[in-house]
Amino acid sequence: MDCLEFRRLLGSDPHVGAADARAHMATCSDCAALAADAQAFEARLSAALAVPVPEGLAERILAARPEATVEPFQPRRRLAWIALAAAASVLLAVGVARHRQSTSLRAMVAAHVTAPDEHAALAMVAPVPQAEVEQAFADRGVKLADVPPEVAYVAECGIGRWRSVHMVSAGADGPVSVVYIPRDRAEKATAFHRAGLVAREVPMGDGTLFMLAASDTRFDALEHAWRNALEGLPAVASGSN
Amino acid sequence: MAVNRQQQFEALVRAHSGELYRYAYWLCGQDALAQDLVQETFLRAWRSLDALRDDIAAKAWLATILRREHARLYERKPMPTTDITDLELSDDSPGPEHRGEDAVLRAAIARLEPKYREPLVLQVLGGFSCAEVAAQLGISESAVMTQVFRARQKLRALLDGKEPEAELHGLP
Ligand SMILES: [Zn+2]
Repeated sequence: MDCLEFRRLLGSDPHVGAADARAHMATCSDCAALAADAQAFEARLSAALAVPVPEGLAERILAARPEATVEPFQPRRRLAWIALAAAASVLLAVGVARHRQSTSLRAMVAAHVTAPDEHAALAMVAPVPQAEVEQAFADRGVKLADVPPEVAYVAECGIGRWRSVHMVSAGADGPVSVVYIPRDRAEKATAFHRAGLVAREVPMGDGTLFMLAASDTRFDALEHAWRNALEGLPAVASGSN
Repeated sequence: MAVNRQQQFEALVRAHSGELYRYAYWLCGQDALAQDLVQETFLRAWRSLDALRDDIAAKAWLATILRREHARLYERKPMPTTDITDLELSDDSPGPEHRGEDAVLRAAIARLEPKYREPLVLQVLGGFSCAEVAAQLGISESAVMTQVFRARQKLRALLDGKEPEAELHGLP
């Protein structure tokens, strides 16, 4: 092996392992010095690539597995499939599936909005352009009739297998995380507590709207605004009759 | 082989989620997106866990799922590499003694074109050989060797404040 070959090899894999490369290094002090330098750079590169992994990532992934909340007791699941096969029972089976699913969906939504990287989103107060909110919904196949004010953050987030629009609504009494899951409609509005937050799940349009915050003081107003936006009801002008 | 499916999955998540997150991070440049990608990857992995025959192949298998997922979800709006440069890593970096240096180097890595960055990340972070990287990316081994060589050259040039091309000609 000559110097050129050695340096090519060094650039594509600095951990010189091949016997002929090692042999060249033993006889060529220039290349040996280059190799030492390359290996020092490699250590630095490896450290730089190792960005910090968010805390609790593995736990969130394990919690988000849809089956995680389903009892691993097979016969009951098979029963659900038998029920599904009978056309008359389809609605019932969907109801059962929805019930199981909603428990894990709530956990996932709560885990998502409280994830460490969302802390920055919760601190945002400047409203995002309405077009961005409309676009986020459009990307999820939802056309908004209106864009509620005070949306300070909007992102198209995957939450488990669900494709959500994740928003933060800024307000004087603190931020409210608002998550819309299209095409998966809850049966009814439900209040729940998760991750130290007050939360509400509301069927809206063909999907489900989640609101999570330290307090539920703005939930009614937000629910009203988002119902108008998603179901196209005419906005009720205050004071008019 | 009566390993519980749940246990197998949990072991997989615990062993590989951190590394996959880093891979995802260098693919898309955003913490939240990277987490979603990893989440989605494991969800797919869970569904096709039976396809995984041995644990040694798991890392490459997961990396492949993640890369496809990234392409599937973000092909409509490819992540411009400039997005990655104004990344802020909220947490403390792992090597506090070199934090300043790391930031410079990270910015340089972020500035690399994806075709250089991706094989480099797979090689250095994933510990894959050039042949394995080639198999993953569906390109030839010699192409991988050239790209990771060029990637290192470009990084060093960026750190030295030189144009990468100048270094290239310096090769004997
Ligand atoms: Zn030499």
